[in-house]
Amino acid sequence: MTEQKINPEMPASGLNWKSLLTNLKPILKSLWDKFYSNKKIFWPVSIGLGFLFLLILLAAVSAKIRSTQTTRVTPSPSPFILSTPKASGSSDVLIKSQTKLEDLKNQINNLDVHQSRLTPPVLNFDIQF
Amino acid sequence: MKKTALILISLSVFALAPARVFAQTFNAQKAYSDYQYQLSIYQKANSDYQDAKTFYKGNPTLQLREDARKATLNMLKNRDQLMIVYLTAIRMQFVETTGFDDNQKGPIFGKIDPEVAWYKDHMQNYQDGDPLDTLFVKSDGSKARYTASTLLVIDESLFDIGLSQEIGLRIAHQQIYSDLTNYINDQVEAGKLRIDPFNRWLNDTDAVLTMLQTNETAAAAKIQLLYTQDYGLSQGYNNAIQALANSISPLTQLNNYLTEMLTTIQNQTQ
Repeated sequence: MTEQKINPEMPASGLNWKSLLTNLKPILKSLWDKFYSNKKIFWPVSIGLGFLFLLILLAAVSAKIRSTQTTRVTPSPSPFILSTPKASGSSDVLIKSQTKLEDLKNQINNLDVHQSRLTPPVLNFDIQF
Repeated sequence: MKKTALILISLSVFALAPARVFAQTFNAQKAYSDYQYQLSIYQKANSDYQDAKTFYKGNPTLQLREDARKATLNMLKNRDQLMIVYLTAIRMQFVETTGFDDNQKGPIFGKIDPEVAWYKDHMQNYQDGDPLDTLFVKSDGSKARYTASTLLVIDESLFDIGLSQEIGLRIAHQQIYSDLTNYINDQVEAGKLRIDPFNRWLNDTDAVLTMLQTNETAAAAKIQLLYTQDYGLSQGYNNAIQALANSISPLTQLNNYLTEMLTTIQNQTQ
């Protein structure tokens, strides 16, 4: 059997996360410092992100409330079905008369015997210099 | 050839269709709107005429005289046009009243239409080159027509609109009265209603109806005095209008009587 040599510095499998994090940390730190030092960018971005977060939070809360309300809806009771009584010929006359009388009363109240809307226009017949 | 003719006829029908629709929509309200619009145009023209006259009198140059002449011509044409549109508005209002039948409306149309025709002809008589003096003479023609004839026709038409409205209301009530009377008789025969007190109420209602008809006849006679007496002195128009106004209270009473009768029937037959 051949002896297999194992390099102790090589990771057992995939990436070496520890060394990657160690390398990334200074890069991220320098990027953050640059971002933080430039206040013209830092504040708008921070505020924008803050609003975005707030919106997401509100949307989540309202969605939660709606879903709660939906679940609480109880089915309405079945309506009673009433058969509409048919108007007889004679009662029909009374109903029609009542409606007509109300309409006629309005017409009497609005009657303008002077026809004010159509009063003759004021004309200038004094055409002399 | 036949096909071409058919296509042409079809196209003509389609082309004329909107015109027919437009003609159908010309009613009293549209005629009144037209009148209001023309009134505003006339008022503007009259204002321009007054201004031009004032400018010319303050500084009588040839140019200002010419400006005044043009403004006068414009105002006079619009004054005639206003009379045409106004008389048409009255005619349309009268058409839509329900009390007079076509035979009764005919005579008043026979008075309005010649007036409209006169102002149409008179408006055509104004020429663009008419000097001021000619315009004054032509204007006096309108004034004479308005005073001697148009004003009387306007007064009679306005009165007749009111009278026709009142007669229409009385007839509508009479129809209801007839329906209720028949209903009462049927129910009394069937033993569901007692004739008392309806027998007395029917008599009272008949009395109001008779009073209304008497008022209508009296008012119609009064308006004809316009043509026999001097309008300014006799106050014929105001007297006739007063006769119309006297009918409003009985009309209200008639409506109340019938409403009360109806309520009583409903209560008794429940």
